[in-house]
Amino acid sequence: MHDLPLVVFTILSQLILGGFVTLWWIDRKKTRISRKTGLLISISFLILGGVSLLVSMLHLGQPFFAYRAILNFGVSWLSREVTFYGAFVGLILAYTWFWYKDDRAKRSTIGWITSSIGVVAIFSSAKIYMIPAIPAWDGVSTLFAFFLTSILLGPLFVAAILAIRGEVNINISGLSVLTLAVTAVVMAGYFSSLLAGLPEAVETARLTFNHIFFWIRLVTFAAAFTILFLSYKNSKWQNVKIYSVAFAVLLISEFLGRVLFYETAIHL
Amino acid sequence: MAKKLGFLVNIERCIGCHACEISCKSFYQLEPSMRRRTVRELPEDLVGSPVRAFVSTACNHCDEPACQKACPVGAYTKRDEDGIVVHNQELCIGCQMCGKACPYGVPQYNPVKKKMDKCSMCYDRLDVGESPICVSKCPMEAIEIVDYNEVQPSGTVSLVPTFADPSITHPTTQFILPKPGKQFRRA
Amino acid sequence: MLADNVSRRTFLKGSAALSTLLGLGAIGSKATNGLVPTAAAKSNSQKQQFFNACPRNCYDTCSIVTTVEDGRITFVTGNENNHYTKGRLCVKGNTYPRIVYSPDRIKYPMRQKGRGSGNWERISWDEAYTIIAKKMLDIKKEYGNTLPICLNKYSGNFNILNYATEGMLSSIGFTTRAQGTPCDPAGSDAQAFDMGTAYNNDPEQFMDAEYIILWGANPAWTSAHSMYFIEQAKEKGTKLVVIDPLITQTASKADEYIQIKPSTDGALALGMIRYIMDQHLYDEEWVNNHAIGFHEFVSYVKKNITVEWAAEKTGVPKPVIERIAREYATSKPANIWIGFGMQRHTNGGSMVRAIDALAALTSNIGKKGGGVNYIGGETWGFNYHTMSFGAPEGTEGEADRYVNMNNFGAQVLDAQDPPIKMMWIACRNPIAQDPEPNVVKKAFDQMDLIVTADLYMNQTVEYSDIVLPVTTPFETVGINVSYWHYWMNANEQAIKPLYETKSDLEIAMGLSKKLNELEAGSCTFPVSGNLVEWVEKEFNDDIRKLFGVKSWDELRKNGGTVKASEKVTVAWEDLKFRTPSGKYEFFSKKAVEYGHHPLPVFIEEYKANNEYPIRCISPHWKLGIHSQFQHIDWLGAIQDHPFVEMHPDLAKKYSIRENDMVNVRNEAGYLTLPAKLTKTVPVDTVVMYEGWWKDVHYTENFNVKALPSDMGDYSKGQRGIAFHDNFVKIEKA
Repeated sequence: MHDLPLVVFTILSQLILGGFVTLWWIDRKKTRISRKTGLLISISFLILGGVSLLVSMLHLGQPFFAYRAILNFGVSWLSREVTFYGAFVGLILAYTWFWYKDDRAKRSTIGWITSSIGVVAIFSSAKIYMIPAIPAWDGVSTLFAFFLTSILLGPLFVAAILAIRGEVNINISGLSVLTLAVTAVVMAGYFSSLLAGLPEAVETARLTFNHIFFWIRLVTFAAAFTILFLSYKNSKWQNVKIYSVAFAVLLISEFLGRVLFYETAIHL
Repeated sequence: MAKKLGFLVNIERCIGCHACEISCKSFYQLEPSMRRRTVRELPEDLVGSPVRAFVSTACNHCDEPACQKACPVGAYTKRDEDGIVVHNQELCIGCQMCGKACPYGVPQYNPVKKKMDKCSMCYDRLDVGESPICVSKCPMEAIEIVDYNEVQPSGTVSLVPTFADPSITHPTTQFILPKPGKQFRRA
Repeated sequence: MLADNVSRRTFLKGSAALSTLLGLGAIGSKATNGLVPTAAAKSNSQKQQFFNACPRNCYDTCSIVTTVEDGRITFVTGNENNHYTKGRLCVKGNTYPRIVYSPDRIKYPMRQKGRGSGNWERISWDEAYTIIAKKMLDIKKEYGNTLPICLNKYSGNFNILNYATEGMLSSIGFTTRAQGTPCDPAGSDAQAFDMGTAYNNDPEQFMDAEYIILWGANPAWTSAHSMYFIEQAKEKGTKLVVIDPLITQTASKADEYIQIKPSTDGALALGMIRYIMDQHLYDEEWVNNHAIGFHEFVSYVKKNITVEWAAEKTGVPKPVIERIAREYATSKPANIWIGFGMQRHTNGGSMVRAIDALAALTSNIGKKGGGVNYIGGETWGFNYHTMSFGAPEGTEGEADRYVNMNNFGAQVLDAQDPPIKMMWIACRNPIAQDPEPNVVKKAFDQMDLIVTADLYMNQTVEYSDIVLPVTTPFETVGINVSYWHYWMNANEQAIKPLYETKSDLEIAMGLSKKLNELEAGSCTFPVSGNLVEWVEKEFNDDIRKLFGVKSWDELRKNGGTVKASEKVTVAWEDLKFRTPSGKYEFFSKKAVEYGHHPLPVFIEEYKANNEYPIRCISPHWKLGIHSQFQHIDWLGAIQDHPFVEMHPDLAKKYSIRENDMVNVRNEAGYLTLPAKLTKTVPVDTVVMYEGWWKDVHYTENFNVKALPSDMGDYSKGQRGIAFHDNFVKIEKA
């Protein structure tokens, strides 16, 4: 698939943002994350960030000239995305440094800046796709979808690692269940607006409903919801296995959803 | 006063032959899959009774080019003197966002150069007083360049079926619709 | 040899109209800073321009300007010196650079082990010539003559030098020839009976017409340059009427379109004639002084034809017939163009005679801007020097033997004493283009050796033993004229032949050399010669006088194209017809000689039977001419597969939706292709366009039968094919 690099990039970048904000938030509020674990998670973001940047370049005809992509910052949301996302990953490096240095105060400040830049990066990323030429993308649902992916995948990722490290047993299920519920509402609204929209939007809806990925996405979505709901109700279900499984299932679900986002886009 | 150059496509004259498209492809030696100008079939009930009707479009050199806004490297320039939207292939990194953002899908990916490509209204020919290839090579003289700041031809329209809503990017292209002839069809 | 003429040429200037439009002096601003001029970027190389001639079997036969940079063609366009071509080419002509540099070109002589196996091996020209020459000499030895050698060559390249293939075979003795033409024979005979020969007005005179009837012609697809003049005439007030069973691209541009039942055009013409006679709208002086048999014709019409009958027959309402008849008879000049498609019926020739009669009795013949225009050959009087060498001394027999090109397979199989054992195919793709290709294949199976000279690996090459790679027009020298317009175009060699390709003339010389090596005196064709010298030998005093140009060299040095004298551009202006009587013949004894009614009468059309109820018409396609052009990838990017057009109501009856695969079948064969639903075709007819499509292993001819049209044997030796009297059944595949 031609847009696969973009699928991987957007999912990874959104995951990193959600994860980063979660790490920074917990670290700011609580004190129980060890330096080693914090450093591990932070480095994992750095690696994922690096991977995401490399993958995104695969989408270019001229990957070696990717740096030029910041030239049109004044006008182009893609330029802004590249700039802010680049800064975001750069700031994660600084943030990681202060885990290494174990300087919690600086981490807190830099984390705040990093999170803000990250949010702007993902906002820019969503804005790239909000174009009238592709009716299925041209709406606030794209913005919702990108940030919801962040909130779904990021915290679970962090929670899973924390659980693996056996350090902090944060109760992430409530947030996830809530986000899934919001996502369901957004999705329902999205498809009804597609069906009521331009012929190209209707075609996108038709293609989506006829695509096996859509149904797998629905099943995985429901499965993740069930697991996380049980986890929310029962603290015994708040463990490594549950978080890892929920994360894996949701990652598949979001990945397939994003594949569909690109695959079923119909140009005017 | 600066010019506002745009294509005027006479669908009444157009016979859907694709000579505009292929002469352009030949002149610029484009890859076989690439089309800087495209001839599209229009609905056959366009003027009422069934006819074979086509419309030829290239880059619409819009007043508000979506390609320019999408391009991360600033490869698109709208010329001050005549409004021609020019793509600088030297700068292009082949991200293809312009192709997605253009409501007309005009910029296309050149699979060999791995960069985007689009109609330049043959501005270098215009600059030396020659007309664009599609204009001079149409067997029916169905394509013209008009300075819309100078003349506002009567009876033209800015929207035809298959052509995206002009309110998005304000394309400069205008069309002359075919006049329906009489038909005696067998029952 | 052409290097001297090119350097002084300047790059053609583009249209001056634009500078007027933009206001002089207001343009010329340089590219915005930092922008890279696209076309100017390819500048540092040496740019040369050459004149070429499009040699295809096409009305428009364009004069071409070819731009060559560093020995490579970079652009091909129309020659502005030719006022018919007008500096522009049709869509097909614009693909020429890709025709030349197509990855699909045949590069070397090759031999195939097992016809159709695809098991080709490269051989040298010497090996190819040796195999062929030995076979020819063996045949001569075995049979005592060369009649078992059969040539099937026709219209793929009308460069006059390409008659070298015919000449080369005539130079070895008497051979068997595919005779006739699938193209125009019925109509040409009709015009020959009426006027002595087919002769058309200059198409640039559409501009002078007050009224134009395009009768079964679709110039928007088959003659774009004529369509320009027609559209221009229309815009200045000429009425354009199109009579056609299909709403063609041309019909879509008509002021008035009349949908006629296929194969009833003669009835419409006769109905119009009846009305014109009744209303005394005809030119009595003209029919009395310049025609014979008018009174016999009047009695036939009065006795047999009524407008009501014509309306019933044609499906055209009576008031429409009457109005069109009145408009046509009272507009001066009124111009009729009869398309080739209209006469591809079992009654096609007689229908053309009826339309001729309509033009004659309204005295539209012999008038500038008028005429009953079909085809012409006034400019074709070359020497045909390549065919002038005669059989070797001591050759047995008296003449070539003919088989009908239009029923080629069956007649090759039937040929006896001697049977046909070897086939030479050039400028043709019979397996794609002939009716009943399966029969053609059977004939091929009987051959000891099949040699095909071609550019691409088409269906016929795939079924041959040896393929000889030929040149495009750009790699050789030639001279071309049209059967429609009045220009003569020089063809210069623009580039060196690619790979190991040779022209048909060079092949003829090479083979003659080998034949004479193996058996001295076995071939009279020259064994060497300069191509420019060859082309100069085509000029004679008549040609020089007609075109006012002394030589090929003068022609190429002076714009590459020249128009014939005004004197010949109005057909029959002197009203001296080339009939036995010297007059227009409503009553033709010649027609009787060939088994026809002496008058332009209506012959009942061929009818569908119950099993195959749907008429299947296979007209020309806009992205190809016969089997040429459509297979080129530039055109494949526009449309890459054939389709069948049908009316939505017909489709509904068979539960066929857009793009559903449809099986189209009759006694001759079947094919399966996607449906395109359109109201531009009648409800009882389906349409498949002619062509060779890349990677498509069938053609529309799979279910075309070798059904002859009514005429053709007088002027072309053989009758034509009733391509459009083809009936099929369809079902959803």
